[in-house]
Amino acid sequence: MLTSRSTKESFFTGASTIIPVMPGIVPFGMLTGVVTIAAGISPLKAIFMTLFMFAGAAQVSVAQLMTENSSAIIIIATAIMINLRFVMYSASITPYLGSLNLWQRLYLSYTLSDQAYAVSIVEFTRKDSPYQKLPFFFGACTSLYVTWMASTISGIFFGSLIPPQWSFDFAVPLTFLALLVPNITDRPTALAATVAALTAILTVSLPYNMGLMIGAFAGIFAGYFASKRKELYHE
Amino acid sequence: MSNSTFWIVISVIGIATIIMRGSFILTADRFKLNTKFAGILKFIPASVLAALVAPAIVYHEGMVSALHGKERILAGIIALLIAYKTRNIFFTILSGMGTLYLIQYFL
Repeated sequence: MLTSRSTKESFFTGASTIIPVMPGIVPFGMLTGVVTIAAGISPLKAIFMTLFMFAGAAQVSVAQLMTENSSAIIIIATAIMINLRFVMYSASITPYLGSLNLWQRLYLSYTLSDQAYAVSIVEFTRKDSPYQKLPFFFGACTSLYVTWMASTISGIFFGSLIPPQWSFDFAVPLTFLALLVPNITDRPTALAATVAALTAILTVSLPYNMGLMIGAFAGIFAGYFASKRKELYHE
Repeated sequence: MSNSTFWIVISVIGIATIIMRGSFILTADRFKLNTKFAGILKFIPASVLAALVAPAIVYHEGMVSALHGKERILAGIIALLIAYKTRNIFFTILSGMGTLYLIQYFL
């Protein structure tokens, strides 16, 4: 194919598509490092946390739940719930990738991220895209991964210098708020968020932070029920 | 949280996340996502994030007099409006923190 770009060019184009989303990644990554330290986690543990998890919202929520003395089960369940969206990304992107060897599969299973998925799926669904899909995706995943690690680790070292009276702990719910809003795409998702928020507020005094799970399930149930009703009316 | 619990929690989450990310990449398209399951997955981010945010903003330092102790609710509402308008993490955090500092400074 004469119009197709080289593997190297596809990789670097994929890597550079991350640049426009960096203003959203770098401060968020630094903040994730900062709040992990603010939660009383040691710098060394915080570095392992970011290496093992590589997931912004889940990392921040784990740090927050650790300060609230939540049980291990609640912390694990919350992180898994927040990261379940990756199943959707995985299902959506795999058909474009062609044949992969085991190492490529493992690498992508570790580095797949919201942004790498988002920029790649846009490129892959373009009809006239000249780039090779697999190298493009590798580039996007890799550059986002490196940016995230550099941001969180600098936050981890910078974080211990921040005095508590700066109320930096408030940045945690604000971060979730910023992540929540783009997930509200229609009435059923708005209903899900509202029901989840109100239920979590009402059940806050339950032990082990169970109110979080009850709120989340109430929201999911409400949203799913509303979307089923909507389908019935439209069909 | 004890040392050993910390490492168990982090390892379990790490492995679970790789399994979720790899669910289709590793199995190479051998099965299709059940539409009913996909319909439920769609509501997870909004619900979990809302359930995390709401109590953290509402219950900080309890409810005292008119505004005192409720600064974070006001700052949260401002941040929510900014998040809705800009869809930008950075501006959302900036507006929320800025509002909190302003209220604390003037009260």
